[in-house]
Amino acid sequence: MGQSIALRIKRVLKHPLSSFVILGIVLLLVNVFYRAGIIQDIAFVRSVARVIIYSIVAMGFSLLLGYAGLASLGTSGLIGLGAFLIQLTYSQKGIPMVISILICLVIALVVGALIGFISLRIEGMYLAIITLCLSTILVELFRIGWGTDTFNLPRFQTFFGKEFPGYSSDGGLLVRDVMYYILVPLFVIVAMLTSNLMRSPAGRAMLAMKDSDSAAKAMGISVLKYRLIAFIIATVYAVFAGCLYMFYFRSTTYTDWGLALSLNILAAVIVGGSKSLLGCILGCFIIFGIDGMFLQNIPFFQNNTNFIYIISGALIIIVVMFYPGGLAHLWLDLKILIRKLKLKWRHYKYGD
Amino acid sequence: MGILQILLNSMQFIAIISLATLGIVLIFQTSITTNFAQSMIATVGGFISVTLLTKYGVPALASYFIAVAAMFLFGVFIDAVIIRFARHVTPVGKQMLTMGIVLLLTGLIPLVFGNVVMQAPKFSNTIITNASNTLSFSMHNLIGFILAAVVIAAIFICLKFTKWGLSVRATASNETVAKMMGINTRIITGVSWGIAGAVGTLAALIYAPLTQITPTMMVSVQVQGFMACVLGGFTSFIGPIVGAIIIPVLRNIVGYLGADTWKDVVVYLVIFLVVLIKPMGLFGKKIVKKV
Repeated sequence: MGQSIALRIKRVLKHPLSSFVILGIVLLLVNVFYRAGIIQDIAFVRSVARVIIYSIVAMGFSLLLGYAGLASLGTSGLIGLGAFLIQLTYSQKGIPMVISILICLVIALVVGALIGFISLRIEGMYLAIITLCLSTILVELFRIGWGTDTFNLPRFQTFFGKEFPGYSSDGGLLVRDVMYYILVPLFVIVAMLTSNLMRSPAGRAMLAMKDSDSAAKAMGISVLKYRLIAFIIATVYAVFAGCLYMFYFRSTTYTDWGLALSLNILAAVIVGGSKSLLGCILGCFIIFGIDGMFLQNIPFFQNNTNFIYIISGALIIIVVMFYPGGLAHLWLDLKILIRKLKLKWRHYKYGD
Repeated sequence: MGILQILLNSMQFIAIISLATLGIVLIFQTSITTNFAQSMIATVGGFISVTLLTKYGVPALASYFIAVAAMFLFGVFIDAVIIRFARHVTPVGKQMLTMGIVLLLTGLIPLVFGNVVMQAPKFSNTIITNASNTLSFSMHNLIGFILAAVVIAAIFICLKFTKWGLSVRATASNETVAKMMGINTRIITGVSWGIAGAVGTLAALIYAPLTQITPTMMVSVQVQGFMACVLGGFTSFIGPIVGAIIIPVLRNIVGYLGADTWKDVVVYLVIFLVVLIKPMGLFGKKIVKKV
């Protein structure tokens, strides 16, 4: 009986989506541990939240880059668009949170479709620069809309009908904690959806399109349809992440959404491995997380705050040049290495 | 303020952006990648010049020469150490390599040059006005503009009439065939990176006195350089320079017509629409893809 339970657990763990659930539980535990006082550093939790939010963007981007083979440099503008729309709908017009997020997603759908249509006409490097152009227009609009000051989202007074205090020193539940507990399940759901999509006929069609447009067309794949799907999904994820960013971090300026963020997300996807979701999350963890989570506690990095750039720059160069598949392959390669070593050990012990 | 004054005001940015654009195009043509590190390499050159000037009291002209020469060597160095070995990396991977260089330099600049904000002196502080005092522009802009014009003209003449120029154009059109024809493409790409570093540094030297020297000072210039490339067409040499002239003039004219806050939005929208109508840019040729 005991063995059958173990077998059942093993079978559940073999399911491709189980890794996301386990990751989600671990991420939830981060805030639980913080509340319980095991993790002392608030910056740690904030960095984890940052990694989660940018991972959502990176997953959409990995679909776009790794599957459809379309490079975009406009990601940061789209994340900013989410934050900006939240300011317009939630903060100015007073629309409830869930409805304002839905409005954002509808607008993201339209914007994504627009970029998808553009991608039919403009290709390759030109597409990357034109998306950068669009993102720059968006950032200019943020500058005009927000002004140059930091924009702060007003505090929740009520949250789904329950009242929340602004600050609490007695260890009560804060709005940010609630947001964190909402954030993690959303992240897991998005990861599962993307993972399913990548293994669906749509994902296969995108892969075919990536290698050759003409060959894909000859196989009866509609290039228009799948480019639209890829761009719409990537845009919706980016805008959604922007909404979540705004509700969690609650303050922003227009300078947050420049070219640097787009390049960082691109770097995270490339370093992690553009075809693997877990790789993307790992890449986001390396690019956005490590600094705030661990290195800020080491005195050397506190004194040399710029040293992290050197490390991530060197890491990007090394991974791109010597490990083109990304760090997602590390696990597989380690497995193969261990198997080889085992074999060698057997040969040594028992002879051939 | 008349239209003539607007053109005079645009001069400095025409000089800066066209120099930056030239670097981007040279690298794109020979290494087939958009070089995000262009602005960072240029910024390092600016830092070298200002540090020599203010800390060590080197004469201005000498410091400019040292900075430009150092960045030429640095460009060659980057090509020799990184880009040359990345021939089989995907185009996006190559972009990421330049991004890695950006991050490396972002980290290294404060370590090497310190965290202080520095101000570069102008080439000359004189302001020239015409007799009736209706037009005015600074000597700094004039020197910068002439310098840029001379350098760009020289490079274009070399591209058109020398053996080196022919080799660059051959490498740009097809690297493998160029190699078969006996062109040393390694030297060509290396020198292209060097020239890109040098002209970028020149742009930084012209731009630095107008603002403060910070690691991020050239980012907006670089973004406009990319826009100019897309507007003019990556596949030609002259197109991006035309783009680099159009962008600042258009911006200033839009600002003059009364839409000062919206001028960037208008300029980028115009670029966007032009590229939508002519996907390969104004001067670009359509590349025929083989299946």
